[in-house]
Formats: sequence, structure tokens, C-alpha cells
Amino acid sequence: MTSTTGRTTPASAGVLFWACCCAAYLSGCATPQVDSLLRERPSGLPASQSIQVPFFPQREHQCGPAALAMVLDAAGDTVAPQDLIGSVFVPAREGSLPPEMLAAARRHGRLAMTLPRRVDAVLAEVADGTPVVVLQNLGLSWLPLWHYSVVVGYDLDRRFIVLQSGGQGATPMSLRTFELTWARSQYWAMVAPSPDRLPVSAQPLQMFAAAAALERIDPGSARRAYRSMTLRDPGLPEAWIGLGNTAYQQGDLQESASAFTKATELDPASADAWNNLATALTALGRACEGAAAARRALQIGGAHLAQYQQTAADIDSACAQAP
Amino acid sequence: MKRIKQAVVTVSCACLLGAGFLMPAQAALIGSDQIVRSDSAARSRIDGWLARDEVRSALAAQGVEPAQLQARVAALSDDEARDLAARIDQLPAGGDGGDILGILFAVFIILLITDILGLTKVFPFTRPIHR
Repeated sequence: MTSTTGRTTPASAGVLFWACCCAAYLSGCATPQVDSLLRERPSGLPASQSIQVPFFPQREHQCGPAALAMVLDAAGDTVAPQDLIGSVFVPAREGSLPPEMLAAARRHGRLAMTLPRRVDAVLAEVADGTPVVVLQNLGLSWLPLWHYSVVVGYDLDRRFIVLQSGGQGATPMSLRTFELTWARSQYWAMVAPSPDRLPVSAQPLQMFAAAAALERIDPGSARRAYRSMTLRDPGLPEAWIGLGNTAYQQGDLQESASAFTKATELDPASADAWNNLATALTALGRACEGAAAARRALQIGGAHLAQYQQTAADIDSACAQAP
Repeated sequence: MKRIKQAVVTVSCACLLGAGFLMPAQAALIGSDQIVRSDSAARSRIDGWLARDEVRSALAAQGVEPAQLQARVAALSDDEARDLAARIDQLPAGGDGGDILGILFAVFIILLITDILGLTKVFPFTRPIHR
């Protein structure tokens, strides 16, 4: 009898101790985003959604490449996770870093960008048919277990989100658990749509920055992204400048000049737009028209004044030599 | 030696960049990425350049194949390159669940041994070797 109590008491004490710790820890965990989402649903957000995304089992530590392959293939690529390991995996860290996930998607011509750090932004993308890669810490802050998953569905009535990852096919997770595990990555989420299909939750200038990052390595895809942006929001001068820049790089001077013209109409105070219009007109053999645009850029001035001065000087001499 | 090499590379990069800025700019387009960061203009252009260089060496040191480095770094935006350069060791690397099971297993084994040595009594099924 004594030996029995001797055996169980410390064990019970241990259980009690850990239960207290857990309770203390959990009481500090709130899920403000999910709570407000369930209290008041955003208008226009369907109650549930589910999208079909190809599934790839993962090799050890390869949830990054697996998640990336799923979102790339969902929009028509045929990339396997092992083709992506060389683009994102960091051997010494046994994992993949968030900025490199974006960069790797760009190398496949995608308009890769992070989303606003909100649950409703993630759900809005899924409702629109775009799978979202999220970074979660499935462990605890002091015992981290960093994991990339793809959000492929949700159900607000039943309060779950559906995650698919290299480790598991589509599996529901309670929205509260999702918020707790996702908050530990400061709500990191990314989408990688084709450039013809813009994220619904992104701000115009964020999209412009994402397209400019794509333009560094793939002007053709970036041009498609800028064109989509001008279709969605024709009043954004930056999108027209981006369209003009990429058209120019691809030798389509006509489209380039008309895009820059549009930008100057929308924002007559944009010296960059005038400078680029001047350059495009000159390349089209209309240097004297370009000279007038170059002077507008000079009058307005700004951070790139040295470049405007050079453009104006070159164009003035080209105009003087013109027949 | 490696440090000296790095210093030489950094200084020569800075010199080359500096030379680039002293030369008259070419008549050309204002690039889209220049518009993204138009607030801080030329300074951040240098930062982006050096940040990519730092990221390249950091990734190489962490076992990324040299053949991949150029393309990986080129696909980063300036902001992403600066972010990576500044805190590559603090950023979480999404991997998988091998680690947590390993840690739990190690804790289990340690407590098992201390139980057997009679230093602890966590598990009901252990008997200390010395009574």
C-alpha cells in the first residue's frame, strides 16, 4: 500500500504541475482576429470554400519546397518539390527562409507577395480560388517547430480552416489553433498567382512593389502583371510606368510611349513619368517631342534629377541633329 | 585570411559603386524598382547591392550550393535582401517536426536515467538501482 502511494504521488504532482503551467500559458493566448471574424463576418466572404490543390508528400525538412510546388502546380505549372530544393532550402538551417520562398516563386514567373497580416485576408484569397502559403510555429515559442502549410479551404460555421502540407493531405484545423500557431510567425503568409490574376487582398502599391521585384528577373511576366493592374485600377500611375518600362525592355516602344503618356495624364507632377516618356519618344525617333517631355521632368525635379538632366541633354542633341 | 578577402571584396565593391555614381548618369528610363524606393534614392541602391553580397556569403556559409547562389540572390527584392542580410540567423526556417520529437525523446531518456539512478521519481514504472 505504501509503495503504491509512493509511486503515484510524485507522478500526480507532476501532472498537476504541468496542467497548471499549461493553464497559465493558455490563459495568455487570445485569438482576437478569429474572435472578431466569427462575431462579425466580413461582407462578401462566403461561409465556406474548398479548392483543389495537387498534393506532394515531403521528404525530411522539405515542407518549404513541397508547399511551394503545391501553389505553383495549382495554377498550372508542373514543378516537383525536388526541383525547388535548390532554390529555397538552407542545409545548415534544415529549412527554408520566408524571403527565399517569395524569390523562388518569382523565378517561376509568379507575382509572389506577402499578404496583409490578417486571417480575413488569407480567407479572402482562398475564397477567390488562390491557395495561400502560411508559416506556422506548431510548437511553442521556446520549443519552436516551424512549418509551411498551404491553406486550401475553410468553414466559418464549423470554425475550421483546411491546411495541406508536405506532411499531410488536406486536414482541418480549428481557426483558434490556426491563429495561435500562425501569430508566432508574425502572421507570415504569401501567395504566388500567375501575373494575369492579382491577389484580391493586396494594396495597389504593394502589388506594384511585387511586380517591380519580378521585373528584375522576368520583365515579360512583370509586364503581364502591370497590364493586369492597369485593367483592375486604371487610375494608378505607377502601374502605367511599370507597363511602359517593361514594354520598353521588350522592344515594344509604341506601347511603352502610350503607357508613359497615360501616366503623365494621371499624374502630371510625376517627373519620372515625363523622363521615361521622353526616353521612349526619342527611341521612337520623335526626339523633338521628347525634348518637351524631358523639360517637364527637369522643371519638376526630385530625387532622380541627375538622370533627368542627362536625358534632357542627350535628347536636345538628338533633336538638333534631326532632319 | 577569409576576413581579409571579405574586406577586400567589400571595399572594392564600394569603390566600383562609388565610381558608378560619380560618372554622369546615362539617358535612360527611371526603373520601376527606383520608383518603389524613391524616398531614399541612391543610398538604398548601394544598400541593396551590398545586402545581396552579404546574403550570398551567408547562404554559402550555411551550405547552399555555390551554383545556386547567384540566381537565388538575384530574385530577391532590395527590401527582402536587406531583411535577410540583417537577420538571416533570427528568421525562422520552416522545416518539419523532427526536432520537437528529438527534444522530447531526449528529455524522456534523461528523466528515465535520473529515475534509475534514484535522483528523480518521475515514471511509475522505474525502480532505482540502489535501494
